[in-house]
Amino acid sequence: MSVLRVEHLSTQFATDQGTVQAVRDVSFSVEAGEVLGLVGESGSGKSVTMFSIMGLLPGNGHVVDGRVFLNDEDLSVSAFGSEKEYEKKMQTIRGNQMAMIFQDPMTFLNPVLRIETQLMEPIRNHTKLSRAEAAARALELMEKVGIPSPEKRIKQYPHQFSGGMRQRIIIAMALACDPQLIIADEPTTALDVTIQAQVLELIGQIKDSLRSSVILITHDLGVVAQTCDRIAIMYGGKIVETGTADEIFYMPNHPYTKGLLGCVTDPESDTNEPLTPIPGSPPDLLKPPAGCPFLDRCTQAMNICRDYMPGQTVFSPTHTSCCWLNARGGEAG
Amino acid sequence: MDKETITPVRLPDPLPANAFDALPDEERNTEFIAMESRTYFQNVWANFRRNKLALTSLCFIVLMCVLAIAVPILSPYTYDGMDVQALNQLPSWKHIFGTDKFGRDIFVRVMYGARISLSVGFAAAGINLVIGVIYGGIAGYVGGKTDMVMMRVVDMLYSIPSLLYIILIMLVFGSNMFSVLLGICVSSWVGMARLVRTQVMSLREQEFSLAAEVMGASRTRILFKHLIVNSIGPIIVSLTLMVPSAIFQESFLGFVGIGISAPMSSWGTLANEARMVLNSYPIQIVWPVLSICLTMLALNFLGDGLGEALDPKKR
Amino acid sequence: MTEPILQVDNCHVWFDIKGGLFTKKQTVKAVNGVSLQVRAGETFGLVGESGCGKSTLGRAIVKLYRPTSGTIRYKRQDITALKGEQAQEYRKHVQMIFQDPYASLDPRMTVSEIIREPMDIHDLYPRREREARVVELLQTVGLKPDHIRRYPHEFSGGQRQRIGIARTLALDPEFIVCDEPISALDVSIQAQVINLLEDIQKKLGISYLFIAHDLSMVKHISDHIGVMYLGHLVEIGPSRELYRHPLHPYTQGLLSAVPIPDPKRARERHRIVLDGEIPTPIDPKPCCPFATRCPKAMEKCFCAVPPSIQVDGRQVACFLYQEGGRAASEINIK
Repeated sequence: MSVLRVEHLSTQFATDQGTVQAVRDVSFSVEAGEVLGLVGESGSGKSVTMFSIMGLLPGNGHVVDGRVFLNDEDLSVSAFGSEKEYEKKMQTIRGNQMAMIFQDPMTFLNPVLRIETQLMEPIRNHTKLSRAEAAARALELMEKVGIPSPEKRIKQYPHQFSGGMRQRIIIAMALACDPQLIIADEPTTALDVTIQAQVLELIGQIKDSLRSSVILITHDLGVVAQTCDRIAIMYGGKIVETGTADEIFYMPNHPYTKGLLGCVTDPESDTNEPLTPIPGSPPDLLKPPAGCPFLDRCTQAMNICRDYMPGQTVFSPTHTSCCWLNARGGEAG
Repeated sequence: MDKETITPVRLPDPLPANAFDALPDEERNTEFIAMESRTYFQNVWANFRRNKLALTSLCFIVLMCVLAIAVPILSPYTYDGMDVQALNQLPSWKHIFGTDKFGRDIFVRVMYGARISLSVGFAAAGINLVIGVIYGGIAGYVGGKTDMVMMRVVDMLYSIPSLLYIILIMLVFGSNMFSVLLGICVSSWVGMARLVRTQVMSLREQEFSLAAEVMGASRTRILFKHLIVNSIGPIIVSLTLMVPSAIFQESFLGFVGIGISAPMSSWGTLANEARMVLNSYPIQIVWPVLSICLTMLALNFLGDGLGEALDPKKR
Repeated sequence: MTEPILQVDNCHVWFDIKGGLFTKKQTVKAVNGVSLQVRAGETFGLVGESGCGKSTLGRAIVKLYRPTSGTIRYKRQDITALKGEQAQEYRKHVQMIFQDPYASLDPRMTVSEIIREPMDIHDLYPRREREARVVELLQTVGLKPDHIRRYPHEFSGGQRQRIGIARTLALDPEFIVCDEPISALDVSIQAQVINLLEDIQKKLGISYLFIAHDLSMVKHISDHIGVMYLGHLVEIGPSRELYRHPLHPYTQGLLSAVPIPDPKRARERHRIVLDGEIPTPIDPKPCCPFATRCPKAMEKCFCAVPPSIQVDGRQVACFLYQEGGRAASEINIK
């Protein structure tokens, strides 16, 4: 059974320039205990997808279509009838069954409260533990995420921690109620390489010890290769290809996935193979193309791609791709 | 490989023969920008227009200005023309706001007062703009010791009660518009200077001003072409809020009797005159006070509206 | 060997933090005795984590900061003392590309005004030709001439960075300091910008100082690489050598931390995860900057700053290689 199932999700933003179709008909699922990597460039809709699932969209954004199931329980606004009921339900789920880790920990931590108070908040909100029990749990969490001398540091304030340590605290807060699903939105983008390695290792350990599922949103293919079991590639508000890490890296099908892989270099390879960048810029989601979103940058684009969105081709139970090349009489490659 | 294509879209039937031919290059729309190109002020206007309260206020102020210019010219009465036949009249079709104790038409006098009050307001704002922007800009951009000295001067000016030197100025230059303006401006440019200084200080560290420095742009060029142009939003907002405060100060001076002298009138002096007959003809004080209130409100709403429209974060 | 176009010798850039009433005056030693050379037409990559002083050094080279001591020589001329006319002349030759494509373009100017500005300042080209030159530069960086009247916020990040590059090229510089030009960009756009920079180098023979924290891209573009840590340059070497066989323990840890885009090898790889965090550059102790995190730290590492020495054709500042001629390969962590 999937922990999370998203079906035909579409999210739009109203701006004074028009409607931005940030997420268009996105479907995917997360199985228990796996790490799903959601890869895409900025503006591809990967963060908006997660905010839609968590019900944390800003005021001008709204989910126009689609359903979200957490353990087969429908978590769409339409299932609750009103925004108010939905919000009430989501409050019991956020930080409890679903937790989120953000890119910038400082926006998530309250600068005037001790770490202890902030760590105890989700525990006290979602469980019936007493104050003392919650405090003990908070301390345990600090140890779990590898913060040295937790007894002392738990009494400190956020500004007394470095960026990497703050990110660990955010992870501790996310873990507070043993969530089934952790959504990590670019958790290491703001960190330095050596600190990133520490945090990624921590996320790996947590996944193993807790058996939570993780959705890792990132644009770094190296991070994905190292941490994810399955990968979904997003482009122009749509998921264009999904597959296991090996399928995506060794058998990419979609021209965008291939293009992305051509844009990164392997720091350990001896040859200096030339980069093959994808030409052009991402589509403007104010006026997304009628057909394939990758049309304008695709070297193999065909006439049909202009007007029709390609359907999904299934290569294996885990590997699917949306590209017209696959429909062209089996000569796709 | 086992392949199964699900096609949720309806394809044209029959499929055009060239459907799977390569897309011609000219059909690609690379580097496409859907957003229509608008200048900064077009954007601001688009934002501003949506704020109905601010828009109404803008209309009110424009109307007030037009009336202030037109009414004294077009009206059969003059601001100092006395009519002993019609003293202290209530509003009527002949005198829509009534007349005062010398039989002067209050409507014309209020509109004439609007000329004085509004010109004091706008002139003070204009002077403050020039002095404040240059002073604050230099202090913020040069920084260091220069900034320290310049800002301490500002603090000193700010610490002297304004009434003190306004009275002194009035003694030296007499009670006319010039000395009122001078009195108001001596201290009020300080706020503008502080605002511009903070703006400039934060923009100075931005990469575009570093880029200009690396390019070899002179300090004046960086200051005026990059830093001040980019602080224009907060400057305009503070400017719109400075107008009502100058009007208010002038009215206050007029009301306590050290403003512009008779027979010229500003809203403050009108209110002062009406105060003397307050017990017998209370209606007379309503007109100048109402004018002050409405204008102040309108200018404040306008300032708020502009503040929202100019805020880049709102985009 | 050709003479270096840029030579930095024992450069220090220190900033004073003013002491308050009760606090002592503190000094941030952002760059602490760095020496390096860049040869004409080559790319020197400068890598390190945030706060290591790499950007400060880059800014000192374009005369945004004045070194506290040491020299920076461009074509044998010490540029730290240049003033007036000479400084203007230097600015024509040495330019900079900035990190943040959102902040480095004046939001109130059109693309045309932005790219024209350097030409206006230095009065290059007759006025009427400048517009044509702007169009030409836009095409060089792959943008359309009809973008010329647009404002920066209407462009995507990659497009803005290309506008920034066009502006830099307007002066026909010989040396460009690229201050993390790709770190704010998306993967597919990073490759575009890197290729663009390489094409420009091939066509115009420009030398680059390429500052970045993304090690894989730096390796791709650079001929030589310097690794900075806490204001010190700990290792310099030819890029491929340095990646294949890092000598300094910090370089080893840094390279091991770079995620590689290959799931199988990522799973098998033995990684050195450096513990701890980067210490503060405020009044650092006079010892090896890396001593606190180094897995091989010795007693003397905490007593003195290791001098930079030649090992296997590279420069390393580490006591491990100092005496007794221990072969570099023996010490390498495997």
